[in-house]
Amino acid sequence: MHTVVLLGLNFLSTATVLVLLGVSLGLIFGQLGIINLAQGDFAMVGAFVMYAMRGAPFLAGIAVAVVVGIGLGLLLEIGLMRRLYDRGFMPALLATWGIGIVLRQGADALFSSTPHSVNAPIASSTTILGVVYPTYRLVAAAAVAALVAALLLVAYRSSLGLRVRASIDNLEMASLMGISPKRMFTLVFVVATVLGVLAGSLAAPFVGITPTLGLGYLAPAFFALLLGRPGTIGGPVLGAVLVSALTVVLQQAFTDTVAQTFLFASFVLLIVVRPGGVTWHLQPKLRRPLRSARAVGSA
Amino acid sequence: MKRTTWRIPIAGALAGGLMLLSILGSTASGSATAAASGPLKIGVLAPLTGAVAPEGAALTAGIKLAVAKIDAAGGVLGKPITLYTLDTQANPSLATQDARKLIQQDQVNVLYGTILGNESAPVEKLATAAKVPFMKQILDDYLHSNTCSAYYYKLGESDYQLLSSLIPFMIHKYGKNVALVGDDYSFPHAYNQTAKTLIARAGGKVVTEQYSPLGTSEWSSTIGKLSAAKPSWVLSSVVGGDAIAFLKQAHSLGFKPSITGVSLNAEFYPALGGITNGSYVTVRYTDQINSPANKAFVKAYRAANAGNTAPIASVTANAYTGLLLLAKAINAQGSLSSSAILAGLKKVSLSNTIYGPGTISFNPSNNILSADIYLVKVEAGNVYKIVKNEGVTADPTKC
Repeated sequence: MHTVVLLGLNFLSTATVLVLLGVSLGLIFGQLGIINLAQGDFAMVGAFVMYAMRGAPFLAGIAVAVVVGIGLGLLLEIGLMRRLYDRGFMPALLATWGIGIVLRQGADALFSSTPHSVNAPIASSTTILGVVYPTYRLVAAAAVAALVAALLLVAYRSSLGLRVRASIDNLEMASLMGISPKRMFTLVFVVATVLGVLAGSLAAPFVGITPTLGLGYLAPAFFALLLGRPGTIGGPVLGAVLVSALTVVLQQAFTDTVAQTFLFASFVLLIVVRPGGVTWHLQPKLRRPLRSARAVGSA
Repeated sequence: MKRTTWRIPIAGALAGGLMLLSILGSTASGSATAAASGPLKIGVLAPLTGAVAPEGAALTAGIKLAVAKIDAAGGVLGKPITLYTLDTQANPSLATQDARKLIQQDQVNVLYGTILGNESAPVEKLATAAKVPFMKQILDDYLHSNTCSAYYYKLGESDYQLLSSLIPFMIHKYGKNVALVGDDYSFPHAYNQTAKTLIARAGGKVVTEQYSPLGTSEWSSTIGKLSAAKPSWVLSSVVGGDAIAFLKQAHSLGFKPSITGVSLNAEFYPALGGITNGSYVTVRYTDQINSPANKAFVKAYRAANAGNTAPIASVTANAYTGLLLLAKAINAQGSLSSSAILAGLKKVSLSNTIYGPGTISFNPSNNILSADIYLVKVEAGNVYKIVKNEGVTADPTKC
């Protein structure tokens, strides 16, 4: 029982960051057809915002992180990415790679590569069936769950969400129906940036904050994206849950390095077997309001 | 079409240039003794940008203070020291290029620096081939990554020096069952290899050994495995941002056993919010050492680095002391030739240094600096309070 509780709590820790990053990667990939290699670095920015705001209340830090996320998203989408959509997959991919480098070097210049940290707003621990677990982590996991639930609610049950999904599903058709693709692109990129930044802000109290913090999050987030049917909004959530569960079980059975090797090997295997990602039976039900005949993987 | 016609002369010029360089290179290394009368030229290889920039800056801070002190006292062979500093960017191939440039073009007498093991390894080979003494200042494990070149002098603390008194102390204070945890790269493995020998010698037992990839930010599962092994204490070689994540998560998950090892380095303390207070660790240098030489050094350091209240890194202390040893060795020999420098370094010793009262010198069997080692207790405000001077400790690596 003790092991099961421990596994469950470790799963929560891993999933907290991964769900947000998976969803944000999924949004950008779905709407813009871009793999954003800087998504992990957005999380790093979020963690450094919390470090810069360490003297202020935690929620004030989160608020500033949201504002920084909006600013960063607007700057990158309007200032850079918008000019690259027509040039195909590769230039956009390289641009996001470059954004990541600039963000890391910027953080290095501003804060140095010496590790920093911030205190958790809740210092107490909760004992769950004999396992001591920091209360803050439970709160962070609950916050992520609420955030994702709200996002899915907006995406699947509001007219704005309908427009976003329409635009993701069939950009040309949607624009003919009067949905401005330009605005949708900006909106989705900004929302995804904010979610990425928030992932780092929420993780900040339990990690060492360094400019390279985001790199470790990127590969599992891609795995989550691919596992949850790319091109949907809810899919990456499921993908992130599966990847987190797989990670925790592998780590329990093997050393961390071996576990990571197995994790990425299964990732590669998945790409070979299902290059377009995995479609789960749950999907059609979730997608009911707007079905499309678009084939998986076509941009 | 026009472009292709341009390429031929450029390629030709490049090839010619390279040939010229290689000819110049061979002449330069052949005439290394030409500069035997001074001034002493030191080629500094410091990663001033990139992943380990703070260590690079700490290295050059120590060098600057030493040069100022030596020059004020009359210099080396009566002349001030000339420094040639190049940024390796923590990049092994750039470090190699820089070292080659310093040897061939600037004709330096000594190479001084590097931080990462994969920078120092190629530089050491190059220096040995060119017969130029090379001195490294940061801690390392020499027992298992042994390089025995006569031209390679090791100023950094060795794992053995740090662990040989720490492990018996921890076993005596906390118990026999030891858990080892580290990042998964060469240094922690070598560190734990040395630790295992010393744990067995002190009658202890390794109950678990865990490694996680560098860059791991989620340590819950590793901490769970450590807890399950019920250790009396933990030796951690988790470093950098990972060290902060590991120590903070262990603390918040209610992990009770005392943690020691390189994760307790003073540079990580400010990010830990005091959670390591009360822990014990061994160091060779701390700015708390109460010797007249160290007090003067700390004062000079604080004056030169105004506003910097962080503890003085051991690499700064090692870089500083290394140059004092080098200057004394050369002045005693009266020559800047490679053979004279090597002969001088073999014999040189200093007493009452910034490391404390002990007499420091290079161990003649492996060129590793022997100096006092201190058992310290971590206290609030990043004070590493000296509990005991374990005396001058020599590394047993055989060459």
